Amino acid sequence: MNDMKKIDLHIHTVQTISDSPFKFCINKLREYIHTCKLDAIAITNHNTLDIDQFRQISTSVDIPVFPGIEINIDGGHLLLIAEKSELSDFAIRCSEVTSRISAANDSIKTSELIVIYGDLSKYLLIPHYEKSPQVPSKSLSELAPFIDAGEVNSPKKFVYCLKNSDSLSPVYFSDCRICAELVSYPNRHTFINCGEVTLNAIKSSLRDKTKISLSYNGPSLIQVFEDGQEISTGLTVIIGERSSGKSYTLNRIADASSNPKFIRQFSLVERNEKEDEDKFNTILSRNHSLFTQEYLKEYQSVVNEIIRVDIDMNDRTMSNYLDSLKKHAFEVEKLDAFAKSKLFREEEFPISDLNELKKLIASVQHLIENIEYRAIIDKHINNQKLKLLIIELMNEFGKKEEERLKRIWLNDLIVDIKTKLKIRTAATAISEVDLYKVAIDLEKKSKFTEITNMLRKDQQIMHRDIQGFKIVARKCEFTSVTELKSSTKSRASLKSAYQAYSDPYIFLQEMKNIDGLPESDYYQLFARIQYLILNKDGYEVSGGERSEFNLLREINDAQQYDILLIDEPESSFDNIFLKNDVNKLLKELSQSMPVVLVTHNNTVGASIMPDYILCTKKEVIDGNIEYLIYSGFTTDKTLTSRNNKQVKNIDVTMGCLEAGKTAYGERRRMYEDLEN
Amino acid sequence: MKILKIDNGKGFYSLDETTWKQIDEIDKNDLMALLNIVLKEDARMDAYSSDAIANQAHQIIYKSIYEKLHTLLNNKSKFKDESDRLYLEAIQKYSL
Repeated sequence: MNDMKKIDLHIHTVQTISDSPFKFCINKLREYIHTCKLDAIAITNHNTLDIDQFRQISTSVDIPVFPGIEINIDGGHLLLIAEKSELSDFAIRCSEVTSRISAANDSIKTSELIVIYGDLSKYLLIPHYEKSPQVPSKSLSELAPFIDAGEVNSPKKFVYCLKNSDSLSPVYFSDCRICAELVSYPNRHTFINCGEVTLNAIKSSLRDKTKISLSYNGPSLIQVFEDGQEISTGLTVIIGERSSGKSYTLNRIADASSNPKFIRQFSLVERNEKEDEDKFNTILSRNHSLFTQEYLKEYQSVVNEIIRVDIDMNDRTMSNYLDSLKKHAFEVEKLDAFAKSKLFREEEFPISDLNELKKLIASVQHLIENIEYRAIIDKHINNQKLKLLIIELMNEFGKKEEERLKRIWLNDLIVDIKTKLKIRTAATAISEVDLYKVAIDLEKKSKFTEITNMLRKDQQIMHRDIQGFKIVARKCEFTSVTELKSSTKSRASLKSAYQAYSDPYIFLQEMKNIDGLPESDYYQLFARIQYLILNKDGYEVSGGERSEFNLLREINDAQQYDILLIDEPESSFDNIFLKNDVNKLLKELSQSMPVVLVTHNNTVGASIMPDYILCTKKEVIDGNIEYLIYSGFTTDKTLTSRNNKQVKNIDVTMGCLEAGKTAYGERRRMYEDLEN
Repeated sequence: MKILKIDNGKGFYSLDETTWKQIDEIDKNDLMALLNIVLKEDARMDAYSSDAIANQAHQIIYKSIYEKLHTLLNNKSKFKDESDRLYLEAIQKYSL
């Protein structure tokens, strides 16, 4: 592994339109190279190459520096790196890119890239791959013969690409802006196994996945600290005595990582049972709000329509109609010439909305146009006949629409004449009523009540198994105003409306009277969608089990992150749960992402069988307190610190996890005695 | 079932074909009941004729109510279609 070279081929030194403001500092670059012990770098600014600055950098540092450029291409970014000997020619070509990019979102096409740079095989090409903004796959295919590696933005994605034979060779670079304000240096570097660091050697090594890693010591380790400290790409356990710096080390790893998921000590333990239970239920409902929304989607449409139905108004319209009709009829003897004219008591034509016919035409059209189920449809219905059917229906629609428009025109005329006649006569005019609307509104009310009662029937509507727990969704009635209030964010009082809860239509009318209750919340207040977590035995979970569920949920959630860090889970959970559930889950997770666990518990630390161990130790050296980290693989006989001090693995592991050899021996004897 | 008839120069309505009331006695509840019969049963009515009804007040009331119920009768199949399809997706989903 002596030939491993640490490289960073993605460094910015010029502020462009794509960067936040920064001012390049050559001393900082020198310090960065020295502190991180880099063997080669490339200068890759956005769509530009500053040849004078590059020459200055090149003469100021003592490692190979390659000229490069980060090009906006087809909406993604591409690193293109050249031999230093080609600098002058390369700079001219780069200036052509600069002239074509005038805004941060501009980009050139792959065809333009080929025209500008000619023979691309001379260059090292690294597109943004598992990193935003990605070069689209179409462009990757076009450039495939010239691409040497793909840039990723986390160790997790690096390891994934390394393991996946279809992926490009991954590289992980700092992508940092070198300026005086840079406080700590990034640990985003790639290690390649090559002899002399030339562009061709780098290209050749990058194309061989066995020659790249995230540490000096092979593909299973990642360097996390500037001093070279490594952790596993899988599962690392940090052990150590109290106050030896375990949590401090975990915090440092969190700071040095991109997108970490950090489960802190005691963060999941319940403190106030009632409060935590409510909080838990709220989180549970929020996490399943999509399911609730989806489940109530059809009901929401019904409620939105019923809101517009006013049965009382229809009643009043009917009464007005009959009263005015009778009054008019009994005034018949006294009717003057205006009131006697036929149009005075003429009724308006009913106007139908043709919605049914529209839906029918859409359905036939669907049958004609559907591709997925074409064979089945054709087996039963002749497509030609369907076309004839739609033509006939559309003709019918044309006729009815013409009739409808005529009626509207006539109604306008009748209303106009009646209005003029009414002004001239003292006779009572007959009010209008649309009996069809009255009837259909009643039907709507009746079906709405029926559907609401169905929805209120206590029934399980979903269940899902998660890590030995079962999440159950139930629909049921609300049984108190408090429950009702939990379904809306509105602070309005629902007390009086709740008194009418048993009659859905009246309940809705009561809700309409409440100021501050948004109409969009109504549909959630008729029936309750309740979520429960049941334990392995099918009972509702206890406080402790809720914490266990939370921990497992948090660990599962870690898949969305790039590294998982857990601080002493044993302080909140019992050993059986940790061994049976947590350990298994962490082991599985560590197959696809780095997991770092702080512990002093043998169930977690030893039973989980980690890939790598970090042992923190507080040592007094020459009267000064020093915090050291000893590390090594689980099977190593010794663990080594960065300053090459060594401790015996068995001693520290047993000391931290079993309270030392003596205590371990006593416990073992006690168990043997009990067994005998 | 017959719900409107003209007899002896006057207009009548019935909700049960047994008791017949004069058309000018109709109130909101009875009109609602007639509406339900038209939509849910086989309703028949004597067509309006100004010659057959001597009472002028009956003429006006009978004509208006007859025309309204007649229009409704003509839309009976439309009502049934619309009613059957009303909230069908919701009913199918929540009745499971």
